[in-house]
Amino acid sequence: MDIEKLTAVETKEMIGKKEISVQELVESYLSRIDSVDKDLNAFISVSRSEALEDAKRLDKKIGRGEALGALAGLPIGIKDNIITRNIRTTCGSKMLENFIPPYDAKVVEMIKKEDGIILGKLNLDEFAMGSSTETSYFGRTKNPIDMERVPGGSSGGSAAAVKAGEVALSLGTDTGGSTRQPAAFCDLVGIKPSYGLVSRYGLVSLANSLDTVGVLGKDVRDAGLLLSTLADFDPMDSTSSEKANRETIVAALESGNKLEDIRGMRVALPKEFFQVEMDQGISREINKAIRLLESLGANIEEISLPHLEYSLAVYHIIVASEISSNLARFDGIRYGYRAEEYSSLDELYINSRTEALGEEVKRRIMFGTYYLSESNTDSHYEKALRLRRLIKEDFDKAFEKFDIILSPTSPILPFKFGEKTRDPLSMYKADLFTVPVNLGGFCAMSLPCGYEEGLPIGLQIIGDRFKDADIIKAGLALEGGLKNGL
Amino acid sequence: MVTKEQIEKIASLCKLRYSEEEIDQFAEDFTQLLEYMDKLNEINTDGLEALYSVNDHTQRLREDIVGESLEREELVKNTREEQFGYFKILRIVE
Repeated sequence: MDIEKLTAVETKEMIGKKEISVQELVESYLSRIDSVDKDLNAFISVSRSEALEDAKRLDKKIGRGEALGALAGLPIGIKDNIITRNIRTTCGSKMLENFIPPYDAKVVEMIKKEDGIILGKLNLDEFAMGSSTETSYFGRTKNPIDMERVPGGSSGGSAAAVKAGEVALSLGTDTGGSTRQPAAFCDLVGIKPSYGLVSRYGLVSLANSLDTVGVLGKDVRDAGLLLSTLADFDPMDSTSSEKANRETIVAALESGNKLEDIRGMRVALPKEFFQVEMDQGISREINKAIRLLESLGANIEEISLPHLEYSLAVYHIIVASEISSNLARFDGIRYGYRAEEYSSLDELYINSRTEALGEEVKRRIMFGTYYLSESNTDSHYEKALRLRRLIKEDFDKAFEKFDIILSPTSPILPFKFGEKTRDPLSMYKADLFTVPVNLGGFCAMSLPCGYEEGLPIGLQIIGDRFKDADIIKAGLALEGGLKNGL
Repeated sequence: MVTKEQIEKIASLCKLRYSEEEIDQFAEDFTQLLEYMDKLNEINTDGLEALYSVNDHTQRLREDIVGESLEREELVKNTREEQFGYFKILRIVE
């Protein structure tokens, strides 16, 4: 039996029943990494000895009959922009090539507390800026479904590692689609929680008003399991919400795929999303999923979100502006790359940053600095923030009448390496359906819903703020229906 | 239209160095991008409040209680140049 083909929930059951020891399980996953990662390149760092030590410790705990955490024994990978104590954290950048964090991110601490086993750190676009995992200083990650294609991004390593059976679950991050789009490209479930539901303490900021930690798994139950262990208020993160609570998520997972949850569910289809030009096969498969929901008893209605067309431009300005501020901390002094040669303090900054930051990162710092500069801030940054309010209010209004909103996750199918890098605007378009969700702080899931010539297609299920349980309920029902060929 | 001089000014604010050709390329890219951003001016946003954060709460204050802290040695181990337990930089005060 190939243990890595099992879902995380099934694996956890096996461990609970002592059908396999945690050490055997971890060894099996590590040897899987050894055999596939040279080519796939999902990992930046594998924390082999720490993982094996953790496994042995947990086996002893099981032997003593102690109560186990919710993630007991599950091999988990962490996107490399989430810091891990004593395990190198690079953000996919030369700037942090040798950075060893002195403490754990809150989410890492929580995974350890729930007895999850961390196998290592996963590849990403440099500082999570990208949609294809092609800009990492540590090389590009391939898509396990078709090795000539990108795995999506920026959490491409997180998606590829789960798909290839190198980890059972993974953490990604999502600022404008960086968990959902790679989930769609690798035929997985990815959840971007409501902003404020999961702590950002120890996540290296890209655009802090939009950043969230995301989860990836083979199915809704797996991704939901990981999310349910992380949803909590954290006083160490000033943007964490006191509304954060895991109970409704746990309840949705426990009640399972219940048809009554879908009967009468009010589902909105924004017409603006469906007017977008998409790759072949996407609208066909999305429509099939919509008809399935309808046949299960959901009430489907078309709606309009009139300001949606501005979201990409608004997103670009806000992200670049926040990046230019957040990346000012990389000065070569306290941590990170320091140039060998410099003759003044200014030169130390300039040489270190110029030598160690990648092209796309520097471009965005430049654009953001422009938007924030004195004469432009009102016409660009502030303007974008005022439009952000209109975009969020469109969604707020929709959620007064509807439980969930549906769209494709991405208008494009997994593309070949280099295909979009020459035209950044077409790359940004990959995030068209996902960025509005971050602008409003809503929650969303990408769910596999079909194929076009072997390439996977993702359906996006969007929920209201802190109604993360709703998207899990809808996801469970749809997944059940799709698997049964309804 | 964004000029070369403006780009040079931005690069210096960013503490980044670019070659002559790269500056020219940036001037072109900026101009193209700003044309795209012009789309935002289709919408009148007068009187609307900027949405900096989606949260309802404002910055929370907590009690100032002594808690666990990080070890000094751990904090300086990530700098390339360290001396006497401090981050070493150039002499900046004569």
